[in-house]
Amino acid sequence: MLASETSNEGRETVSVENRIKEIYGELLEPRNPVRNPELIVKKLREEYRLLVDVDLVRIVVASFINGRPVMFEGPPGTGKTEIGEAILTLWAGKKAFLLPCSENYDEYRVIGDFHPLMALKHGFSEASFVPRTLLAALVLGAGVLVDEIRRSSEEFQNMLLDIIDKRRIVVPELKKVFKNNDIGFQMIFTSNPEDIAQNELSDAFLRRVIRIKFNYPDPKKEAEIVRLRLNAKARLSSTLLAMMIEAANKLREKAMHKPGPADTVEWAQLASRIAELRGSSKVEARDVLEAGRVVLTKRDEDADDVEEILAEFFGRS
Amino acid sequence: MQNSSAVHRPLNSREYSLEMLIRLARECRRLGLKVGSSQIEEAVRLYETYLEVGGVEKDDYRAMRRIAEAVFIKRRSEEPLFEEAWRKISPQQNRLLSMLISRVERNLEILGVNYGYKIRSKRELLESASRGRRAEKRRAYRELRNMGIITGSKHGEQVLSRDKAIRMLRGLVEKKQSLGNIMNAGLLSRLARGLPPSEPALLAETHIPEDTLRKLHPDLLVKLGQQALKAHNKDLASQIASHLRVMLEHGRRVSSAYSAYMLMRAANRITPKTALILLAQDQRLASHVLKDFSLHDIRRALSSMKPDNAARIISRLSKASSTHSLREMLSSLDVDMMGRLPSSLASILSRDEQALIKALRKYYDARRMILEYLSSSNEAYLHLASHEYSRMLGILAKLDGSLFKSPFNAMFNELRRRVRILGEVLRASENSVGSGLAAASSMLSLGEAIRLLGKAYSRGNPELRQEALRLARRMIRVRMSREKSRVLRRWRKTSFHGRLELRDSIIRLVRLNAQPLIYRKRRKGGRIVLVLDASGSMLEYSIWALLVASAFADMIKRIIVFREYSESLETSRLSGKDIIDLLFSIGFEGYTNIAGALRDAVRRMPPSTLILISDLHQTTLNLSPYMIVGELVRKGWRIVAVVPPRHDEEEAEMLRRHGARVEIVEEPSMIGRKILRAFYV
Ligand SMILES: Nc1ncnc2c1ncn2[C@@H]1O[C@H](COP(=O)(O)OP(=O)(O)O)[C@@H](O)[C@H]1O
Ligand SMILES: [Mg+2]
Repeated sequence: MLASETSNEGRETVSVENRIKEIYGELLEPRNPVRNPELIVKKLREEYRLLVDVDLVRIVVASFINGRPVMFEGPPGTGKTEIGEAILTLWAGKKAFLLPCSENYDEYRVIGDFHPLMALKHGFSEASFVPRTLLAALVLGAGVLVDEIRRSSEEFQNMLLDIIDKRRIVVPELKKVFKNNDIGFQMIFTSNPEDIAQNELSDAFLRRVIRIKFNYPDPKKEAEIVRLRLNAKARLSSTLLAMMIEAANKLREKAMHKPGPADTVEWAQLASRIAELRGSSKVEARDVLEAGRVVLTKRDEDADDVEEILAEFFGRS
Repeated sequence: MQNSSAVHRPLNSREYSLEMLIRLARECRRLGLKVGSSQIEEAVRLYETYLEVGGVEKDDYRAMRRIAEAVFIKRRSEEPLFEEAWRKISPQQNRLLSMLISRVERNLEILGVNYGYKIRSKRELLESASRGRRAEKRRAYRELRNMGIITGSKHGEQVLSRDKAIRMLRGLVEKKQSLGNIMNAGLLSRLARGLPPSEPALLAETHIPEDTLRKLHPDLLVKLGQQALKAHNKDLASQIASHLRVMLEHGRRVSSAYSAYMLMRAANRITPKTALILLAQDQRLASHVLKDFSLHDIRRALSSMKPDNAARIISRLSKASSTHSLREMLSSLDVDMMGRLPSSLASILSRDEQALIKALRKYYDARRMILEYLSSSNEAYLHLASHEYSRMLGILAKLDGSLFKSPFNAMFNELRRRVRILGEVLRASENSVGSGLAAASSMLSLGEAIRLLGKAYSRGNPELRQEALRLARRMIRVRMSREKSRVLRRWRKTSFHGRLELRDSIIRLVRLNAQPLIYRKRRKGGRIVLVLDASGSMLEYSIWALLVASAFADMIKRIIVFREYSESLETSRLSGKDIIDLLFSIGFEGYTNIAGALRDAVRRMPPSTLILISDLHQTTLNLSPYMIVGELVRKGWRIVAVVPPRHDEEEAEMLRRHGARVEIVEEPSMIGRKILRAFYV
């Protein structure tokens, strides 16, 4: 890390690093880093209730060790965001920063900018500088989850890569280079290639990230995910759950909005709630049907398909 | 196949994986996927790191594929191209595929036809002047049908076109992954259709490689064995029967126990243990078992089985044996087993004896309930327990004195003793869960007690958690000081003799008397890694090992306790608190992952001595323990596996073959001696 400047009139406390510790330190919830893939898988399951293959974690870990950012690519609701954030947190032993992308993000929004009034008073100095997420992550050695990277601009993407490559951030206005070799500072991007509304990523960007593909899980694993997540008193039978997953898979072929495991989980959860409200201790087909209508119809044009598939599996009521 | 020359090379060098990645990249480029040399380098680097973080030394092609995918593919649209490139170079699949293809082509040659041939007359096809040739043709034909290369339809049979055949075989290879599985699938589908298994090539052999046998389903082994007997191929039948025996003893099942029994008997490979395992599955075998084995053998085999299984078997035997011999057998069982016997057995017992069995069962119910109460704090269980308990007291009161002449009298007395203790536990539990736990802990074996406390700890409210923790730590502390003083007493005894030339005399002393460990302790401080299996049946052993270890903590560098995952402790000192923290931190359910624990055990550690305490039953789909052990031995580790009498014998044999020493220890409290010996022998 950078040596702090000579101090007069207590300038130390004004250094950007200290400010960062002051502002973001509380949010970090420090803990022991977990870097063994098998242990990460275990913690993901027990602590975050996420079901992740050890192979995947190993690739992520191997990438981190080689200083490579990772991109999770796959359809929505397959756990990219949650898993990414959790892995980063475990890896660094500090809560990861989440950076949800948007078109108008630029370096000022993620590295830092100058407080206009303070800048008037002190000039462009550390005192008037307001550090932001990315700089904080670098200084503190925490991970950054860059969510939905395709929503951002190409310049922004290249800036991120440059930072992770060199593990440093230059703020010319301060004539200062922030540098940190802490291995906790890592990036995971998420991307959903099916969303045609978003930008394409450039070749240059894609060549520099390790792309890990996320798919819909097979039915057995999906059932396991639902069980892991489900938090309800009413009992959902395995047969019913298997049917729900089969129905979801059918919708994935047909509908515009393809339900991800996240939706299946929500569906099961809602069905159980409905059963409970009925005063029943057991989820029945009609609860599943009712919940399905609510959860699965995310777009009007899917309504007919959803109705048809639900009727096929759970009868009309 | 163009690539087949390259794929026959050995697959274990890193150089080779580099070469594979380069070939893959080249193939990708040929298909129009841009892959630069920096990407190849990147993939190699990642792959190596991947193997390191996974602790894997061998090439792992699935991983290689996933990494190449992650690095080479930029967009979804490129996935099919990559897929195609991978197919072209994938080594294992290619080797298998080319093997299958050449087998198919050889068969076609025998039949004198080519791909795409329409079979107009089967008779004509199989016709030949010589008998031997006809038989060979028939075999070739059957095999092609089995594989699905010759297909039938309404219009007659036909050989697939070359393209179709290869596509079909490729699909088969991808799905089944091995030749054994493919043969298995073909044969089983024939069996399912009621056709006889036809693998004449196998039947002519007198010996099938163990590797192949291992891949076959036990049901198929039975069929093959029967065929071998029918063909008077006694050698093959015996080989198959012995293999079947090992499988059965390791928990594999056959769908027809009766045929398996007959096969193994005919091949002279049946043992009392296998016989009983099969009997548990098929009642018809009872009379055979009683004829084939003496009561003594049966009893011995029974006592090495789990009580539930033993109970089922006894009830099976009861239907076929004389009342007298059965009563003998029953009365000699131990109380634990007796309590779990089914009520159908009662018919051969006197009324009083029946009442005793009933009381026994109530005792176990009450005991189970009370333990459940103590680990869950759910009061309903307490009520159930006291209900069962008081009914049992009623029965026992009536029985008093009436069983004097019965062979069951000893059992009656033993039960009364246990009932008294249970009564105390019950009263203490009614007082408070905490005092109940304390009382129960003294009724249980050390392992059972720790497990109970562990469960109470993980489920209880904060207060109870504290109490459980306190009790557990105290139990361990008490035992620890007992162990320590035992060990130290020994040391004092021997130190008189050894005072003059302490160091040099150690080895000689050791040979005469396995006690003077303190010297060694000074010499070899911190050189031992202890790896402890804490799954169900092994918990007891591992706790004892920890107790012993606590007396020699400074000789031990690292302790790993594992179930599905492992927790490790770098140690120079080991307190009762450490032991309990270690045990409680890994939870009390889950799989057993020995291989994983071994890997964790040696991480960043120069070779020295590793002591593994486990029954070697691995329940996760990981590398087998012996594979890792083999590697470690090659690196210079000295490995001692300490196993209980009931352990995975096959795995133990493999461990021995790979250079480990395997020591069997009869019961948990004896484990200390084995460990101590491992310290300095
Ligand atoms: N492997 C998984 N393990 C546990 N939950 C999962 C998994 N995959 C998906 N889910 C469900 O999906 C939700 C997370 O979805 P999210 O991370 O937002 O997906 P994405 O970012 O891919 O759209 C979780 O809350 C959970 O309900
Ligand atoms: Mg997301």
